[in-house]
Amino acid sequence: MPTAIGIDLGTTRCCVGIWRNDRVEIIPNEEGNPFTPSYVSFTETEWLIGDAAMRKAARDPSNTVFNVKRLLGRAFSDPGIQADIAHVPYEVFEKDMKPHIRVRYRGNTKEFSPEEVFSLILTKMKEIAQSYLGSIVTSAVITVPAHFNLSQRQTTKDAGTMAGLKVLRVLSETSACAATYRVDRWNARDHNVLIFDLGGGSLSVSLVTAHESGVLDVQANAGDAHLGGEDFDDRLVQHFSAEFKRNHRVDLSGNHRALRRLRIACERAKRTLSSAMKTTVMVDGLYEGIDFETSLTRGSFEDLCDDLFRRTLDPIDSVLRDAKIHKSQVDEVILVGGSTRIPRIGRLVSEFFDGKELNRSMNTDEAVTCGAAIQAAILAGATSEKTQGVLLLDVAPVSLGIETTGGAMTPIIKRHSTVPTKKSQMFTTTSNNQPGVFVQVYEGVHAKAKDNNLVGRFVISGLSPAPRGVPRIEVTFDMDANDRLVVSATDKGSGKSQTISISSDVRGLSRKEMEAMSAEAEGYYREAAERKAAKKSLEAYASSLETAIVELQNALGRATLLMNAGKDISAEVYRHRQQAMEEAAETAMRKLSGSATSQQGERSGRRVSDEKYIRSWQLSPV
Amino acid sequence: LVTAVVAWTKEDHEIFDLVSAVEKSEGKGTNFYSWLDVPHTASTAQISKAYRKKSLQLHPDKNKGVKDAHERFARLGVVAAILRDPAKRERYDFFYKNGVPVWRGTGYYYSRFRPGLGTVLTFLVIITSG
Repeated sequence: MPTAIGIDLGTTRCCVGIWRNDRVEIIPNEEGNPFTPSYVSFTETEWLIGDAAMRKAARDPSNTVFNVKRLLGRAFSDPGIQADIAHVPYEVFEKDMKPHIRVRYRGNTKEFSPEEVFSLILTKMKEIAQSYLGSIVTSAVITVPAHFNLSQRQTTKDAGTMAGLKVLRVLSETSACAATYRVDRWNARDHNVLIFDLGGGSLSVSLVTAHESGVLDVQANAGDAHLGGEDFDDRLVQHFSAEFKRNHRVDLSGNHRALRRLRIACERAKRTLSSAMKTTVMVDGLYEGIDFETSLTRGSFEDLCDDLFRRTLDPIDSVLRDAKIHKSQVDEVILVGGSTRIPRIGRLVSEFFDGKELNRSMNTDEAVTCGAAIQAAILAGATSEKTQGVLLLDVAPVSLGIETTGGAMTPIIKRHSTVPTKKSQMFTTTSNNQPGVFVQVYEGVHAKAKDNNLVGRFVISGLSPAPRGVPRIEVTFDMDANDRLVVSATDKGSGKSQTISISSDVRGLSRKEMEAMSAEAEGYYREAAERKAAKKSLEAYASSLETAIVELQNALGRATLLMNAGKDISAEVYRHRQQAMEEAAETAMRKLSGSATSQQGERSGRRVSDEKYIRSWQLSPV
Repeated sequence: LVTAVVAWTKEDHEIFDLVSAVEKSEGKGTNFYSWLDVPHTASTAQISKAYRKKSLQLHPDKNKGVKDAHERFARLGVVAAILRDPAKRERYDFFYKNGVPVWRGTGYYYSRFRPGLGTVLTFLVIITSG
């Protein structure tokens, strides 16, 4: 059996585990820690990953990369990204519309994409597992927040592939927790489980129905990509920098080293406050020899973060709404993720469920890794009795559909549909004699296509001319358990069809492809126009030839009549007749050549202005 | 029934297609209920239960390398989604009781097998010459 590991790829830290001897073993790194910080630091000689990189963060902030997960698979123009960039000390710039990172490495400036940084971290996690297991690791299950869309999942998968891993599945963190729950604490009756995972960077909430047979049926997911421990730390850092400014008239902003040290102190204070009511925040020589020391109570921490804490309840609300389940029907509420240690969070969740007792029996930090390891074992073909009955019916994280008339988004696979799934829908054209259709595939829940994420597009050209609304174009979305989406469209009239597999490179058509396509379209149009013009010209020539022939025949007929008429006809009459015949022949010839030239000028194809033109090939639902 | 013919919707056509597909892959005479192994009077909870049980058999994760596992499971999901939605189930039940129409309306055939000009001409020639 190939060795398959489970990796929890967190915003702030990662963890790796393996299913062995009927249980999950969490694999410690070379420093003996079960968790490896998601930090990569670039130096003059090498790159450092994990603990070593985190230690470098304060000394060399501009070359130490962290929080990359928040940049993954998103557009640079995303307002969320902009807010994140403002918070990080390293340089983030735009390349191909996506955020990239620029650092100094070995004396040179080097650029990395977020997935490249991720692949470095994943390589590290693979090495940790290999040195612990003493064998080669070939494949892995990697977890991501439940709200990650297709592009983000694909990018994560690519990072795994770059790290030399066969990615068996990109699994939602909360679904992983469900698998852990299923294996660890099984009770054989149907019940609804709500999983609340508040980690360092994001919040995921899932509602899963656990069935007596062992099937875990995910009903709905929701989350907040920007809510977690890091945000609470940010609040504290802001608060104390303001305090420092008041007391010492020194602005810390821009001083990354000081801010980094303050942040470490704040994080420590936050953790302490999960058990203590009061703590001290202390940084020696925070700025030019000025020490910083202040106290923080649990109450004031809760006040500072109150709005953030309350925001954690919104995804619970939407999950219950989407799953059509009342909060009283939830049998178990499971809290996982480091930030659920904050007492106020637990109280808020419990109050939401009318004082329900929360299930904290799972290991807050390791539950996700355990689930990933279990799923990895199942997918790699493990035959453990404990994993035998486990089946995770996961759902599509976002709606998938195409753009239709007026820029509307028509979903074909709706959010929260169990995958794998396959759905088809009929569409038609929006204008008369529309020569093709432009199929644009989007993911997202917004009603306007442009507010969603474009994941691919293609064209079917060469439709037979028909009035609008007549052609039938069947669009099929086929999605497998690995979030791989295949979209195909078939014109029922001509039988023409196109299929694309949605991959991570979702910028869609490049400029060049667009030009090639429009050239094809133009070619098609010109060909059709030429054919039409040529036919018309031929018809005209034939008809004038026919007229000419008739006239000539008439003239010939009269001449024959004259020739057969007898002797008493003067030379003058014969001459006159010949002249008339010559005239008729000449007119006919002139007419023929004239009609041929007059047709020349009319031949014209419609001028096609590439992209804009193809964009007008819209679809509308039947 | 005539009004029903006129009123067949996109959802009905989806059901027709699905009925044919299920029969083709699961054997003749298989309907949505018999496939899930529940009586047609089953409650939504029973259907969900049966669906999950069936998933365990059909899910591609449990059928590594089986060729049509993906197709069959995908179909099961759509079938279950119809039976778990009261409005859609009502539509299906109508056809379950009355049978799926043999003639599904010209629009149905037109949209599925939209004939090309050539086919139509050939067809007309055959009709008129007969």
